[in-house]
Amino acid sequence: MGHLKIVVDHEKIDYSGPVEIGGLFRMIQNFLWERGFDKKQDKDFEHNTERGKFIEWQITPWKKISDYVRYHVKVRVLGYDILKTEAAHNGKKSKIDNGRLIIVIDGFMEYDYDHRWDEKPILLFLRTVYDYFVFKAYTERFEHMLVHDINHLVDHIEKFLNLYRHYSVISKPAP
Amino acid sequence: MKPEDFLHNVEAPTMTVYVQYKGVFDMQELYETIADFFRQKKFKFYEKQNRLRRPSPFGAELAHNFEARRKVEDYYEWVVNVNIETFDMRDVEVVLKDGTKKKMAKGRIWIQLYGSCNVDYEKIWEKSAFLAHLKSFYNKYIIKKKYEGVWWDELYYKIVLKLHALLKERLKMMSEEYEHRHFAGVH
Repeated sequence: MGHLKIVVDHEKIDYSGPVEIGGLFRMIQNFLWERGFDKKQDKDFEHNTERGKFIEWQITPWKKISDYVRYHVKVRVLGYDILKTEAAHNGKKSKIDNGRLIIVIDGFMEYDYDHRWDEKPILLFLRTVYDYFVFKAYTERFEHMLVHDINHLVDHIEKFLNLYRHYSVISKPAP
Repeated sequence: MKPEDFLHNVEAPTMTVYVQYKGVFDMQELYETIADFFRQKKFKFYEKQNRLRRPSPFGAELAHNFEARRKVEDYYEWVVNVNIETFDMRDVEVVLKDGTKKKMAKGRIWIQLYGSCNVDYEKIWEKSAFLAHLKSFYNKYIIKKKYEGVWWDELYYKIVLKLHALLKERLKMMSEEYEHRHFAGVH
């Protein structure tokens, strides 16, 4: 395996309340697709329990940045005790999921994904020197781009879950 | 020297995708969905193994191993494998929305899907060492982009992931929506 570096480690969202889970999955997939990631579905589990549904959904989309570097974004969604409840939206009654969601996002960068530089110890050494010293500026720039993409995704998820509605403006409004 | 030493890129496997579900489902409908999907996509469908065991009083264990093959062109073919296993499965009678009763199954189901894009499936270019070298060169340098970027992509997105989404739809799972179902045409 190429050199895998953790860039974003366990960005976590914990949410309890009403949510449209199908829409959330669609939004995450669409977001990553629009940014050129290929889809890789790791887990898609659903168990009907006495207290509601338990779901585990995990995707690890990847994107090749160059012939040397590749991004991986791991999104894991755990849902507990999910039940359908009735909600009023724009004066109309509709059914919506309700339960607890834990979303964990990790971002990885994989160097030398074609394993061209890990067949001999000397090549591995050269690769490490190259990554950390010669290619450093590009490496950091790639990391920033990945962090930016993941922050953007987290922001999208938080907007989807309406997590910003509890924020209040502290500063005085402009006259 | 073995043929594997100089034969490169003879197959491009897709990632394996899974579905795990516990609840009520219609096994017959699931089977028909898979068979019908492959028929529509012009695959030849083989049932490699069907196994029924009753190891415990909690229910039956069913195992189905399916393989579907499609010779897309003279030079490459798609192979898709579907493995289904059920645990603690027993028959239940459910009442549908229109009031009619239907027999369905209740238990746990595990589905594994994976495929691969194979080139030179008739092994025409392996009859001599010279031909094998020629094939290897062709795979590595001439058709590599098409092989990895078009043939493999079509297999992964239009067959494997599409069937995965279809099965989730049949099981009425929460993640049933597949955003990119029609991303490359509706066929």
